[in-house]
Amino acid sequence: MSSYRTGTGGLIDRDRPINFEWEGHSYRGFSGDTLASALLANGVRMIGRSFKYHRPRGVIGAGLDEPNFIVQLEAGAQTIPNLKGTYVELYDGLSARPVNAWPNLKWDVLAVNGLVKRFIPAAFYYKTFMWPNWLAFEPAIRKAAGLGVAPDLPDPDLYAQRTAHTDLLIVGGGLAGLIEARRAAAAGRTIMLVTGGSYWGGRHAGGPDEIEGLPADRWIADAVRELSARPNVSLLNRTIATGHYDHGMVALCERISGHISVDQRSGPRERLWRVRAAEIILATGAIERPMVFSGNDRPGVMLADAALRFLRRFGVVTGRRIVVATATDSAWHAAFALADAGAAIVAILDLRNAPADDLVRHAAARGIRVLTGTVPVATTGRRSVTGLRIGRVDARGRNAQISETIACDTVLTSAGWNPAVHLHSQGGGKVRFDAQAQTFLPVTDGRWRSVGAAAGQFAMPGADPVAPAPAAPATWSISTSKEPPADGWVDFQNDVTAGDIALAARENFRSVEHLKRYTTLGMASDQGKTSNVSGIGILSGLIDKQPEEIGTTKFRPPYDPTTIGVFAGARVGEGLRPRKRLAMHGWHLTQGAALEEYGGWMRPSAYVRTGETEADAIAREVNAVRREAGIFDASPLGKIEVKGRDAALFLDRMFVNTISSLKTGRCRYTLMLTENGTVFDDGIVSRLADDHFLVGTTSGHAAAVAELFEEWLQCEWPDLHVVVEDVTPNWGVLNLAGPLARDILASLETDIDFSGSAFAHMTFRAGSLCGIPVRVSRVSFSGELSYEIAAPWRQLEALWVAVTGAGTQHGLTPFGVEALMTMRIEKGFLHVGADTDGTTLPQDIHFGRLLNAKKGDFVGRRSALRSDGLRTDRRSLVGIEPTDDVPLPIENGSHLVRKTTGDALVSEGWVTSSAWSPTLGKPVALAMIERGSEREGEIVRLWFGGVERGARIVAPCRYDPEGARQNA
Amino acid sequence: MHSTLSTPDWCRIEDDLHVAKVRAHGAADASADLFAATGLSVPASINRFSGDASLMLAAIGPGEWLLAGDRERLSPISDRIAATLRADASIVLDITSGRRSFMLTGVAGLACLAAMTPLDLGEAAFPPGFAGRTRFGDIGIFVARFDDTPSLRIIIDQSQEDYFRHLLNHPF
Repeated sequence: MSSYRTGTGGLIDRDRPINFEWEGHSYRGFSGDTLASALLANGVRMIGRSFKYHRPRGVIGAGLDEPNFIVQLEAGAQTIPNLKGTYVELYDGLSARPVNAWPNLKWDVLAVNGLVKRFIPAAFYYKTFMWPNWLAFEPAIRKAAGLGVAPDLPDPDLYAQRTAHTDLLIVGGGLAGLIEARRAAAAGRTIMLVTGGSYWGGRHAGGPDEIEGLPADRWIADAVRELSARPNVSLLNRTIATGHYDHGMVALCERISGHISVDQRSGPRERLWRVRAAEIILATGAIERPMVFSGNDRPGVMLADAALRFLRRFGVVTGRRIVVATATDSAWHAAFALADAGAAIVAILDLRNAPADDLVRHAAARGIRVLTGTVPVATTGRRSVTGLRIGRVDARGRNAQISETIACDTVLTSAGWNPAVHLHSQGGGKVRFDAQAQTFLPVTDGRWRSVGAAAGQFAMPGADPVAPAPAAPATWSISTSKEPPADGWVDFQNDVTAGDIALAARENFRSVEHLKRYTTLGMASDQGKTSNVSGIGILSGLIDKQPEEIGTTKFRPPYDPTTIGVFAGARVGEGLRPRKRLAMHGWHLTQGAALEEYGGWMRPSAYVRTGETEADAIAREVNAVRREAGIFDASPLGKIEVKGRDAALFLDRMFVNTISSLKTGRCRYTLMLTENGTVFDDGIVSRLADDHFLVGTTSGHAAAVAELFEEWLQCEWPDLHVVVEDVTPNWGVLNLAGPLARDILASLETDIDFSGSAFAHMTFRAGSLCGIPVRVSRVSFSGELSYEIAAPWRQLEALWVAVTGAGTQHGLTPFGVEALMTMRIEKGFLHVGADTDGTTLPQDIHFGRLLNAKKGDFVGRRSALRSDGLRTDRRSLVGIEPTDDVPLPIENGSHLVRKTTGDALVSEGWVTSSAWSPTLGKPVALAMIERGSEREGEIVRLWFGGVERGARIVAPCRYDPEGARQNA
Repeated sequence: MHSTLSTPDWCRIEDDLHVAKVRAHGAADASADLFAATGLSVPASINRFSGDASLMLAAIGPGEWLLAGDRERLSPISDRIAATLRADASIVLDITSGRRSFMLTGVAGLACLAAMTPLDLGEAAFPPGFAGRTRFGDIGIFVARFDDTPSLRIIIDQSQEDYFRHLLNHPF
């Protein structure tokens, strides 16, 4: 191993070496390492290229605050983009590469951007590529920018989801979180304690601190052991709280197997937890703030606390000659720990003129040079730091003149600490600027609370504060002029400099929200973890406005990039959404049915025979129904029982038609409107008894109609004595249609008289057919003699077999949805959802007379008769037939157009349904056309995708307009 | 035709379970009438059931009850309810044909509910005797908890059986 690894210490298992690959090169680390710690231990300093300028970048953080070390993990279907190398646990065979470098990290072609950086500042793209059209440039710009690459193969991993309800959710497994959990657990409440990393204890893990008289690691181990033993406590490590939503809901992403070698994984890779918590405690810690100065993004510049964490957890010393530049006490302790581990601390620069005496004494004891009132001004070097130019700050704590250059390979900085308020903010919590801490602190309002460093409380129980006391006045950036440094980076992930912020201010983007959009500061997956407060501070100095007046932008979930797969969970493949199966599903398949989804049901579109096209099959099926008989699975038709002494009155109020006048045993076609007067559904209502109705709805709409019935009954008319129940899944429906349908039924055992005189069109009978209880409606959507026969779902198969057996000698043919649609277009029958949209009123589909004539009010009437509904130029339903001899259907969606001045085309409506009519031997179509009903016979032009076709407006019904066949 | 997808070993299909639904509006003495017809006390609150796996009476909404059990016991009861229940409006429906019933057992069954439903499965909110409707994946189900095993009865719309079984087999 390299000399960057200490001989002892850290939480790694030195007896378990691990081999891995980075950018095609082999390395070795230890079990317990992260990709970042292992590479640093191997002396790898440059780990990526910046987002926009492709500048060399090194690791600056040690956790989720890391903005630079974004990696593409694994390859092929297993690849995952945009993971943070500081959070990727090492496993045998791991392979990773940087995300924004081509052909490789060392020689990146787009590094040329860095050479012309001054010419492509913030908003350069928006300003430059507006002419002639931004969209012409966008693909190339996107390709040049971007981070990782999404896999182009199906994700082979499984993802689980789980709901949990708990009395208390504690986010953060550091010292504050563990203390809160112990306190609450003793009270017997159910507790979930989660931490993002693999270990517990946060910053104190692996450290020399004492907690309640015990070494930190011992105290942490005891606390975890005690909590694990409690049945009311659930501990989840490797679990990041990604989002905090309304009503105490927090989303957690648990990494289950991502830390195991790919070939040894089984089961779900991640689990999404939807946690509903009565109380939430945010112990999310704090993020150290980098110093902003020239060249502060050069590999080798790192946060002081990150260096300390790499040392304590992984036994990695991040540099050989280290300069520590700080405005806080905590970085001094990092310097001392590194010095004690054998690193050469060349100097400690403290921006403050008078740091604490004991710190100075400790430094002197270690022979460390201390420079007070001194700051880093610029780094030197190319792909990594070789030196640091330093200088003294002026009286206002801002500008510095270079006084000396120190040779070094590492610069550790600490400008202050920002509580991680992201989850607090996501939940709607407010923050306030604390002048003493020079950062934003969460404001507790009772819904949840932040504790420990997340609340700005940096002291350990019983210990002196180690982190606060930054310099005053605040120094948000350091430069040798009045302007912030043009090459001092603020947002490392989005390549935003202090100069960009100055540019935004000059161009009057002074609101923090405008600043964010103009520069991209704090955007994307980083969400400003290390940059937001510095950016606001710099803006504050530029526009002479205090940070509390500027405020912050709102933090958005997820806190860290989260796989789409874990949000999808089981909702992939067959689990994507529920698809219902027909009772005769298996039979349809044996008959060669092509199944398609219609309204959530898998239904036969057509029964295509060998050698047939789908069009051939549809034509054959239509002809069979028109000439002999066909059988159709109509089970999805909605069926709602409505019962009670006020049932007729209730249905009168719900439908355009009058239902109370319907006689028992008869059926009526009905139309239902929304409160806005637009067409919602249509169907057949059958009166089973004086107080009992069966309401038929369109396929797939039964639940929606039943819910609407319930809503009106429960919310508006609780005085009506009516009960409603959707019975659609209880009844399978067989539709027997065609001139020979009656003959087929007559050959079966039944107590129902199917003769034309006894069982007329639009009537209903209940009885027995083949010994099976049935409900039969003589209604027709095909225009032929037709019976809809409903049988208990589990008995439909027996009935179906009997009917098809009896139908063989009559040429009975199964037909699918497309044949039925063709026949209803021939008949001019409306299909709600195809011929109507969210603007269609009943008068548009020839229900105007009924609308006006009906006595009594009903849902949607008032709205349908508003002035817009009374316009004479409204679109109405008409038939369309082409005037040419082209033997092809009209394209559905074709616009009926007229030319205006300059040959511009104006749409007067469009084709809503279209088919080739095997019955008529020509195309048939329905359309919604302006003043359509008045224009019958008019020759018009249809336009579709640039192709025009001549057509004539005709009556909707093109087949058997007298209805003789359905009334047979 | 039932689904051909397999079920895990902690899930048993209740092929012979019969299910009936009772809806009533303005039934002032529903508790007494239902007790007279079923011999079961009507649950004191919604989302609870009385009885056992062989015959249960679940209160699932205001004026809304679900009966499930063996055919021999349930069939005559449905008729008796229709005859006995005094209400301004009521309906008693045998919905057996439209439903499929499953019995999930043990920790795996409970974990499956945690994965696929938004239910609070803590002892206080989901004790033995619980019965209610909830969302399972993206479909509505009826779920009842019988004991501490726990044994969990789930009743679904039979047309959604494939989807339900697919989710049962998804790892959680």
